[in-house]
Amino acid sequence: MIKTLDVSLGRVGAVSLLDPPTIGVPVIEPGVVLASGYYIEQTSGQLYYYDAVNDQWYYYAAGYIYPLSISWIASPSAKIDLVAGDTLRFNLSFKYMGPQVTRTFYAAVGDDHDPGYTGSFAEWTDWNAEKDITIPEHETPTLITGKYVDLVVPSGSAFWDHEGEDGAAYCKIMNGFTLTEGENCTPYYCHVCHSVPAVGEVTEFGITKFEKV
Amino acid sequence: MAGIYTEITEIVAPSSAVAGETVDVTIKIKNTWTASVHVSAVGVRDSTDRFIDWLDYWIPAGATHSFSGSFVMPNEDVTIHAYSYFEATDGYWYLDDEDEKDVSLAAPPEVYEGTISKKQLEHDGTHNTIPVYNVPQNERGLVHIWGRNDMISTQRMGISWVVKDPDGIVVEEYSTWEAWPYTSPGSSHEFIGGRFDLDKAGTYTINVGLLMNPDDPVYVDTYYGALCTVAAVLVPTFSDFAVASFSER
Repeated sequence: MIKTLDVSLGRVGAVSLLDPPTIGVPVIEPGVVLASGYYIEQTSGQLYYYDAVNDQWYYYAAGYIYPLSISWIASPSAKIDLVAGDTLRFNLSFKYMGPQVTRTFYAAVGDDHDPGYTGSFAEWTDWNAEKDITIPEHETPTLITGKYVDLVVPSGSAFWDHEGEDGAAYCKIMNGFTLTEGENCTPYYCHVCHSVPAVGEVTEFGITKFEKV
Repeated sequence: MAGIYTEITEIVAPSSAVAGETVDVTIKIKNTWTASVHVSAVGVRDSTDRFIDWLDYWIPAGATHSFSGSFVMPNEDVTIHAYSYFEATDGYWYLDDEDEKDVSLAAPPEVYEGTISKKQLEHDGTHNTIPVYNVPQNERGLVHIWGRNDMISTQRMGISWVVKDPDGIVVEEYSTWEAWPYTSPGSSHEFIGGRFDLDKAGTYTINVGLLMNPDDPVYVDTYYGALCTVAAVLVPTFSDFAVASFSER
């Protein structure tokens, strides 16, 4: 059975006022742990400061540091119950201008928070998916819809670890050095899904042997 | 030598003039008598052209009066003859003093002639005649200008140009005089500037002038116009990226 909640709202919720339009949040490879301190992004030369205790990035300009983050906003759809093996579809919306390109879109589910939260996104292990999407050439900014990424809910411990939890979700375009909301990263959406605990089942019930005790 | 009543004290005129040039002449006559004298002045070029024709004036005792006129310089040396006359009590005019001054024929100034014979823009290893169209954005440009000497003598040529981007901002200024040996008659010299970025979409312009005579530079040819048009390169740009909805399949 397909349960669809298509609420095409485009950009939903309050947009973060924290980030300047051209400064993105640095992307850290999974498993890499950074200490607090200043970092320079090699491509742009932008100077950043990372507060490891609070997992907060700042960018440095004109002698001041400014906090960077991706907005946490409400989900555009009602919360969806998921069990292992279900498929969560991310229906994407964006504007594009440029030559025909193929980009890898990455979708993930992680720890949930309420809208307005300012921390980073903690992904759940194996709750992610990638998909290559080709976008035709457009000479003017053109609204693109109908593209999506399907995330198959994992089974086993990856699912059990989050049984009964609510999950947040987001999508990004891979290969960026930084994440810039609206350009290569969506906002972080709150209360997107709920991991439904599996109900135990007993089957082929029977007596295999009788013993005198 | 002064007359009885008057003296031509000066003939004001250039010592030389170019053929066709208007030569202004002033004859200054002084009254040397003890009372006012009615004086007439006559100025004649080579006894043929009376360019000051009996101009009269009552000159007070001891005063000097200027009589002016002009003529067109012929293609030869000339002599200006000046005469002063006084009016006697019998009503007749009598010659009183005369003087003369030579005006030699001057050589005409040299007319410098040259032509911007070829204009090219080099970009991405190719050379194209200016103006160039649809240059891909973000390439580097290099201007080549050829100046031709259209005179019958060898000339040292110079060049000056300014390149502006589509916003009117100067991206290259270049000027130089060619090094010895200079350019022989009918030959051309190539001037090459410095490289600059063609990083804006739109029309770049160039104002270029070809010069001669370094001691008193003269523009002999100019080109003010388009250098090239730069075509914008489409850069992948995403915006308003969002998840429109989540659904379960």
